[in-house]
Amino acid sequence: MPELKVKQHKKEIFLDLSSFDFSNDSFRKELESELSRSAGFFSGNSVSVIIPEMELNKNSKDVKQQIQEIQDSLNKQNISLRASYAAGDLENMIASADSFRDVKLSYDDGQTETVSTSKEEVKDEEYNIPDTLYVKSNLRAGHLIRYPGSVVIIGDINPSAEIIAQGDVLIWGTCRGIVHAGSSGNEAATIRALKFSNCQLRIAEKFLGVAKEVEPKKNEKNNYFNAGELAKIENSEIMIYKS
Amino acid sequence: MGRVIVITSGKGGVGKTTTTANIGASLAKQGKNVCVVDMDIGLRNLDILMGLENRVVYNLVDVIEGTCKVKQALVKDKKLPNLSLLPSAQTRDKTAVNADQVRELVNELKTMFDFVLVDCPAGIESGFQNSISGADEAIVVVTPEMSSVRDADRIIGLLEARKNELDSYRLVINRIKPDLVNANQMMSMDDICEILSVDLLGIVPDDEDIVVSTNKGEPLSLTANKSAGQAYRNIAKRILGEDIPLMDIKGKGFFGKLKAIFS
Ligand SMILES: Nc1ncnc2c1ncn2[C@@H]1O[C@H](COP(=O)(O)OP(=O)(O)OP(=O)(O)O)[C@@H](O)[C@H]1O
Ligand SMILES: [Mg+2]
Repeated sequence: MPELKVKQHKKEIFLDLSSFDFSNDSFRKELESELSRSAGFFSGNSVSVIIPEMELNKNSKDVKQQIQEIQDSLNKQNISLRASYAAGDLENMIASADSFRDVKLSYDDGQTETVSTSKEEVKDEEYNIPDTLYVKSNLRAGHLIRYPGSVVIIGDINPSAEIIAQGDVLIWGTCRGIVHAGSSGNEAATIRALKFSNCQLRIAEKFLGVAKEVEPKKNEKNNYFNAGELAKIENSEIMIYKS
Repeated sequence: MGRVIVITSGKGGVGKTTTTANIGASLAKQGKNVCVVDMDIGLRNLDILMGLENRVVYNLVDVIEGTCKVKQALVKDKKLPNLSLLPSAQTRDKTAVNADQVRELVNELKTMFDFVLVDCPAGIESGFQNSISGADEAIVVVTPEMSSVRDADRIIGLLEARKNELDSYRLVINRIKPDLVNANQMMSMDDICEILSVDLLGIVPDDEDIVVSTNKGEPLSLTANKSAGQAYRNIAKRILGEDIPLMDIKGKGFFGKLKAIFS
């Protein structure tokens, strides 16, 4: 099964279709099922697609037809197509491949994910990525976001939904799922939510399960904030403070 | 043009088929032309709940494969002439049909009926994808258990991905046991609505008469004046746009006598 990869460069979102087999009749079905798994995440947005190089170079009617079909599939999900690039062209366009970031957005079908903290990811951290992923929807059961920067969610994180971010995570809603901030080892990362309820929090290598009964501590004066709850590492454990 | 409503849940055994039969019967009782479609291919059930199992001649797969016309496969209800069943095939499996074929079929049914209710199989695989194909609205059935709520959440996530095709998706909470809620041993309606954050279409109490009516092959909503029968009739009225307040499900236990939990 080919995988839909999501990448971001500056403000532009790219759907990388280079692992799809365009000569296969079922490619459209596969694309649509991959798109529907992203749970309306891109709905209302305009994206660009990256197509395997060979496909575009064929320069036949086929290719036009295929791009039209991609466009139809995107439109079904209320996404519009901004441009399409051959995989190679794009690399030339963007001098440094490092400025490309993978946004992993997929369903975790029951397999437990081990969060890798490979050297490469740590290297990413050094770039001090300014862009933040902004998501305006609830994350529902099975939904997984992996992002090499900070993540802002306007909505709830429901049980068994998961965010793995190398930066901070801010949730304007209730957190009932799994959140890992500073996933490549950054102990200064924080997680904020309006409310933490029956969730699982990780910051860098530290772990904390938050049951309903865990009452967050009142925040001290020197750390003043006036809405929601804050999780951060202090004296090598995760502490939760409320406003 | 009629409305196509799919009844789905994710988790199995939470009451999709029961809900389909009861809402279908109530809408028909209200004078609407209704077709209930059993999309659980290979696990035919809906015909039994409606007491029509020995009238089934053709089925949905026969229609899709062109063996017969839609009209030939429809089975009319014994009591309500404006209620019809499109049975599923017992000897085939979900791969016998695809989403485009289902869309074409429900689009045809839509021209013949005011309401087309599609009973979806459990799971999120092809049977689910087929069932939501062509649907205008969805009803998600959930029971007050964490596992059911999580599966419903997943389903709602998948429905949201189609929000430009679906006009609405609403929730029915089934099998509420007021005594357990009162004793704080079951998720409350508020807990469920807070997590799922979708509109609530109705609540149905756990009612042993459901089992009796299932075996009799007569949806409870046609006869019972209380409990689950009443709850399903209320849901049908809300589908028709009436503003009916949520049912007051009171427990028989000590606390239940003292206070109504749902207002
Ligand atoms: N409100 C209720 N009170 C008591 N029993 C109920 C209620 N609703 C459903 N049931 C019972 O629960 C069982 C499962 O119901 P039903 O077959 O409608 O579920 P389903 O979701 O269609 O299952 P499947 O996923 O297998 O298709 C049946 O035995 C039914 O009688
Ligand atoms: Mg069923």
